Amino acid sequence: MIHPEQSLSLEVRKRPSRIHENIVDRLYLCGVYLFLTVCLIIVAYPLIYIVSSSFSSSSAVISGKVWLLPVEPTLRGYKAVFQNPQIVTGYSNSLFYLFFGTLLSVILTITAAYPLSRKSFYGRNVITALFIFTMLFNGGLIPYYLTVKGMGMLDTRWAMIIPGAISVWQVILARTFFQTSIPSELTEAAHLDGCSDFKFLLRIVIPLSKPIIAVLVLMYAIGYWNSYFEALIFLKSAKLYPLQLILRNILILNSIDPTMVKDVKELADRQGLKELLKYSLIIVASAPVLILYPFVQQHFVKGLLIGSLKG
Amino acid sequence: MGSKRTGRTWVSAVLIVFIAMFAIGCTSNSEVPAGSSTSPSGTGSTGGGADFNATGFPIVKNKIEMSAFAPQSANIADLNTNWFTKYLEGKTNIHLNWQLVPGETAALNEKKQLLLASGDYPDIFMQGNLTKEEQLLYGQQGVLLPLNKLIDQYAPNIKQAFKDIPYLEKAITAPDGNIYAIPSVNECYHCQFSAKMWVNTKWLQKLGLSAPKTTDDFYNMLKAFKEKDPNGNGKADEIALTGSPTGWHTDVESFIMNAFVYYNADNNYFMMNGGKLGTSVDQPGFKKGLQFLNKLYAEGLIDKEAFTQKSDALSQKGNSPDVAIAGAIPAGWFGEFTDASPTATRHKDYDPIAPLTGPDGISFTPHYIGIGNSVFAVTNKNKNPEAAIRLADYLYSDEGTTLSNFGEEGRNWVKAEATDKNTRGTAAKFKVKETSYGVGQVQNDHWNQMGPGLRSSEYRETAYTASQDIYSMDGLETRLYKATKELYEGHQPKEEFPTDIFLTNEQANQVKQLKPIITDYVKQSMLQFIMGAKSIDKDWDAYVKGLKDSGMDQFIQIYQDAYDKMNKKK
Repeated sequence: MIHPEQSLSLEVRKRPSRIHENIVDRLYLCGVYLFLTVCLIIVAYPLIYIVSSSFSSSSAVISGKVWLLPVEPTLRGYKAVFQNPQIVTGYSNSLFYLFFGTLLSVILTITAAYPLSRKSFYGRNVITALFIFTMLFNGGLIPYYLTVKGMGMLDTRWAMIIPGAISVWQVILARTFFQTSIPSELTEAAHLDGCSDFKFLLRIVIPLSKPIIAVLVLMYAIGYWNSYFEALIFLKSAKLYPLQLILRNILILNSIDPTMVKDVKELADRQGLKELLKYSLIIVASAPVLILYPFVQQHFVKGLLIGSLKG
Repeated sequence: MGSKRTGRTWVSAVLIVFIAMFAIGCTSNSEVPAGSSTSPSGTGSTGGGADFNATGFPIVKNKIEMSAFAPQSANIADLNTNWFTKYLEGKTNIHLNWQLVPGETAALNEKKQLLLASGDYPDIFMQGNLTKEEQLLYGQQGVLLPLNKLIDQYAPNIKQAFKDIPYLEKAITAPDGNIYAIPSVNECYHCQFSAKMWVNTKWLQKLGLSAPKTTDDFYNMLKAFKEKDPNGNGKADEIALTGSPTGWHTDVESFIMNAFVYYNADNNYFMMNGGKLGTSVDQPGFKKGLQFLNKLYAEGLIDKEAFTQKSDALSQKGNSPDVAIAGAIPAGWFGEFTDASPTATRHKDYDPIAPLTGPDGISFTPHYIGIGNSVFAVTNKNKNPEAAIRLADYLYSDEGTTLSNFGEEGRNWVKAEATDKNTRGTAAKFKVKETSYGVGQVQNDHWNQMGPGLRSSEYRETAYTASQDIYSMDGLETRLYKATKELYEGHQPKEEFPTDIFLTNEQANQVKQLKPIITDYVKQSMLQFIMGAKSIDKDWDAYVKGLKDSGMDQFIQIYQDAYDKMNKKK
């Protein structure tokens, strides 16, 4: 079926070509394109630079020979990244947290947001208020740590997924979406036909809510991929570390503490490691999010707008 | 009507529950440290248990376990399977359960503070980066055990170190007379004199100049660098003097200012005179130094970006393609500004110069000496503190230090041959093998200077081999050692304020407030004077007054009190 909004937007897009453009309009358009091109260059250049640097030899990079295209092309950086056991375990851990964390988070968020969006749900304002309360107040770091410890989640994969499984912000976003796009008449109609609440959620609400689910997936996924602090606090075994911890470990060279200089050659080694891995590591580490984005991007703007404008 | 009423009671009930929970949360939060300090530990009462050996190995007859906090640095594959961890377990019969953090200082500190504050700390800190303040705070709370008696009874190597290194025991003894944590001693001789100035010697030769001795020579040299095209490419692309505020002593001020007044930014700008503490930054010499720096800056001899650029930008200048463009760069070692990989050659053009002599005959170099933060501590959760201290004592032995820092004999290092020389140029004891892992790879053989250890200057300079070819990468230590010995030693002031000084908690809190204000003010004012935003003649008095207003006198008094207290006891 054709979405009514889709055909409308097509018409909007066609309209300018039918109107005669005068010189001022064209000049204006040229200016806009020029401006956008400059913007594109500003945004794209650092990315291109990093990609080129990742394929260049590290000596070419530190002497500033690389400015657009790779110089002395080599795959040494990538080879070193994939030979480093810490990076490989960190990478698979991060993918694990990303996949299962996002899955759990999206399920929990929808099951929390949908009932809260129904006017017939008794006490929904109180529950929403309690949700919001946790946005404004929290127990602080040490009670948080002790809670997680008390639940026996310290140094387990659960600690990376459970404590931050629900973001109240996302629940509110989803709730607003359900409120505005799933009319209560639809629920009534479904009930009349003998549909249970769960079936309604599964068969009708979720298929109608692709934009908001895309938003949730992307935001949670990025959150899990970037999560650093939970790992730092709750994990004690290096084999559970996500990529971000290892990244920071390698890329942020400790500020030099003279009492800790073993021999200067070791400094050189560490600097070499950093230079060698820096750019390839950045590419490898941003790849999953960069890959994920185009698939959900088409829904993204719509989902966010509905959540925010009509909220 | 009825439903609204129940709704309201509902809300108030929930609120009451919440407030109650909140209150409980608050109290239990504040109780945590106190609760942990009262937890029974049986310190020393067990006498180490029946199967503890006071001397010899293994330390315990039946295997015991200890949880140990440590950072795992980026170039160690896995501390659990590390060769030295296994060797140590075999030797001592103590199994270490690692509680790891990433090997980066900020992460380590955050986790350490959380563990200590929440009461969920391990049996020992193998590498805790424990500040003096933390040692005192958690020592007096009873979390960290006092180690004096344990060291006296069970740790001959640590006791010997106290005798050999005169300042060591004083530096780690808290004002209450207890030692709560043990440092990793690493007497890096060239690091103590690391405010070095590296000058492009090739350029000097080309221009027919000798290494500058006075500030006037230095000025003339920079002028020649800038104007006479020493790199010979026909372009005026030379940067006479550059630096960066972020690298290892790559700041331009430290080296130059010491030709006018003793200036040590790492030690709060302190200078000592007859047991009385003062600051360098209100001295007439400091004013003259600023005038000189201002002159260099105004004539374009100092790189305009030298006070703002990051280390990466500095090394791009140092590594300029084709020809060198940087003339003089201050740095702890040349790797701060130019490529130090084994195939690099640019660094061979740069040599350090001796501290300059100013117009008043002053010629200092900042002296960076100190033990720093301690690494090893035993907590009150530890059931075998005697075994723990013997473990640390083993790491302080020659054998323990060598194995934990360099790995297995035969595989990672071999006994030296008669022709092998050490940094000092005398016969070395062992030779570290060219490692198979190299740059970009991680190793799993040793702890790479994590944990306690004793690397005295004697050990560092005589034990292992170093190439005598100072321009090779293997000769790096020799190069820095020689430069320090020949050029920098002797320029440190006769009287110095110790960097390792314990403050009481109250003093520490005051310092925490004052120090950033003072440091920011001094740094900012220096830049304004040097770059000409403020006139040294007109605004000097206002600057000195501002220094007083930012609490400099109080700041000095705090340290003077702590210093007097420390000296009274001895």
